[in-house]
Amino acid sequence: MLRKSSWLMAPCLAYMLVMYVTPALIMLYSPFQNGVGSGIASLGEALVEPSYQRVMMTTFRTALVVTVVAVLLGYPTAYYLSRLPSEKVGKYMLLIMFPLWTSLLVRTYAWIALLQDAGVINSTLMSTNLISNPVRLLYNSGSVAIGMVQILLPYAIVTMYSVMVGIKPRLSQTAQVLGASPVRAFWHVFFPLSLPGLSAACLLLFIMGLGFFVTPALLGGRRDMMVGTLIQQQVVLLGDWNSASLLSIMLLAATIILLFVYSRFARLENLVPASS
Amino acid sequence: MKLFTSQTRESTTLTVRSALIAGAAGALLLAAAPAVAQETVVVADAGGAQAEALAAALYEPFEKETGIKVIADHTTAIGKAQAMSRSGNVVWDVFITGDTDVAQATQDGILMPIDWNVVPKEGLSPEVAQTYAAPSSRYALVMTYNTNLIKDPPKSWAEWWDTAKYNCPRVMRNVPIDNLEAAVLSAGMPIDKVYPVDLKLAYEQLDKIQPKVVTFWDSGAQSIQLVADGSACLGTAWTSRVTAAEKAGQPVARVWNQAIVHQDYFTVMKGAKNPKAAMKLIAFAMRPEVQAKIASRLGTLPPNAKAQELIEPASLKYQPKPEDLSKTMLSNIGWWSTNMADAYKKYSAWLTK
Repeated sequence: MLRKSSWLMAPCLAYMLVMYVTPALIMLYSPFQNGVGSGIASLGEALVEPSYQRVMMTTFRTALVVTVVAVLLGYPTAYYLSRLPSEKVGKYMLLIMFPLWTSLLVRTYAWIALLQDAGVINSTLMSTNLISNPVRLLYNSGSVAIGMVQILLPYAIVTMYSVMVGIKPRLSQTAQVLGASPVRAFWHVFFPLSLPGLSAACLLLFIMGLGFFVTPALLGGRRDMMVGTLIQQQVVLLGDWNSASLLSIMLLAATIILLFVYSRFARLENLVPASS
Repeated sequence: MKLFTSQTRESTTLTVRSALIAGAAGALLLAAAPAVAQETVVVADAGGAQAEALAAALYEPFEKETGIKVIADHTTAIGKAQAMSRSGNVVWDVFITGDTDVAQATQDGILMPIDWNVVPKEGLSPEVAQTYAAPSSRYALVMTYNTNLIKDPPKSWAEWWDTAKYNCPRVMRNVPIDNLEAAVLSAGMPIDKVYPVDLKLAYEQLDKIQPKVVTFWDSGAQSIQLVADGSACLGTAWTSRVTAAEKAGQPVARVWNQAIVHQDYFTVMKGAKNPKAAMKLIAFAMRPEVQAKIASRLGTLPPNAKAQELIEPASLKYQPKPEDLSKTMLSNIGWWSTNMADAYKKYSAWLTK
């Protein structure tokens, strides 16, 4: 009966096909318009272009740092929430989701107001005589990371929570009844079971982090240019669709490789009896 | 309006002609158009202060007089224009943009000739009344400073570069346009020797100032905000943005010396759906009283000499005086249109070094 209803997905699939898949394919095809050979040659050139390499490195480094920080901050929260009775979780979840209903641009400008030389943080520190000159908090990789972590944190918490809430409290209790300390029960029972959530959160955040545009452009300094800004410059200012497309191909290829690697790990993990 | 913008954005992702996608986007666009059959004209402007001035001085009076509805898209970008042209679904009619984009668009053949039978040429100087472009405002990239932090502003790019005299943070734009010119001027190059730009010298100068540059701005709004909030004491900005900031009472002011002057233009897209309305709008925009209103709001220079006489007295202080203009330089579009791609590549390599 379920199989017969699969047409219910058709409107969504049609929408994605017309509005996302087709334009994406057309865009990715554009460097190969004048033959596959010349497309591959220009891709080769793009791969060795020093400025592209540096921007790509910055993009991956930033996404990695932000992922690690957000997951470390989100894990204890998700753990706490997953151990609460379900009727109490709602209001916390509302608080966690709340930032997602605020415009990303507004939140990024709020960080500027907080972190700038004459901003809230610096003026508070200066009025309490803790510092005599403003500390430069903005326009470096630190401010980019702060801004991005704040935006990605809800995604990390929700993803990990959804897996953790399925881990029965009984399992940890059983371990403790059998003589394990609470710490040991956590690391040997709960943590391995939460790994699918942790890895899913890492993957989601990392991929989302790669595509960030507004936050690094507004909060970053000159070395913090991420690939999104570079692609925007190529298109908007130069009208160079080929270079923009090549950069997108590089980004997409990296993401696909990552998904592939993840799928290998996720499958390996399923072999562990603990996750069943 | 929101719907409309998202569709035009959708259409920019097309790079090759695709009947399917263009058709789908077109169908959606029709759905978003007003139910009543009304003549419209779609205008792409730069947003921000420019868009506000155009809305008040041009779009609204034009709508009132002609009954033609003006739909403004606040993203003027050569990339978007090219994509529309290639996809065959040209959404914009009038494309208001800077001199470098006009050169590029003319080269690409994506513009329609201006109908100078409809648009009055009278009062315009021949170099701005072009086959494919009618003049809009004349503006400049200027040195800016925070008026609370700096009492004795720099008189040249050399002084702007002087970290002993001004030992405080700077901001400049994240693209090579104007920055390369400013860099060679800072080394004492006379204005008439700026082009062809001595790239080696330019990057030596950029290397010197880079440690003092707190960030490289991406949008006009940032260029003002960074100087106004004191993150930087010296900066660069477009004159229309400085005028808006001064009117809003922000502690930002400009220096006219060695300003790099640009010309904005009205152009019409080849394949535009409302070419007649587009020409009418541009003809309306050539009226001295309309130009005077725009220039009064932005502190720019109107292309029509008659309009200059109609500038509101209170706005004259935002405009360059003749003696200011004599100290400025004109951006050389010829040099830029041949060197653009290389210059950008080199600049972003330098920026991320």
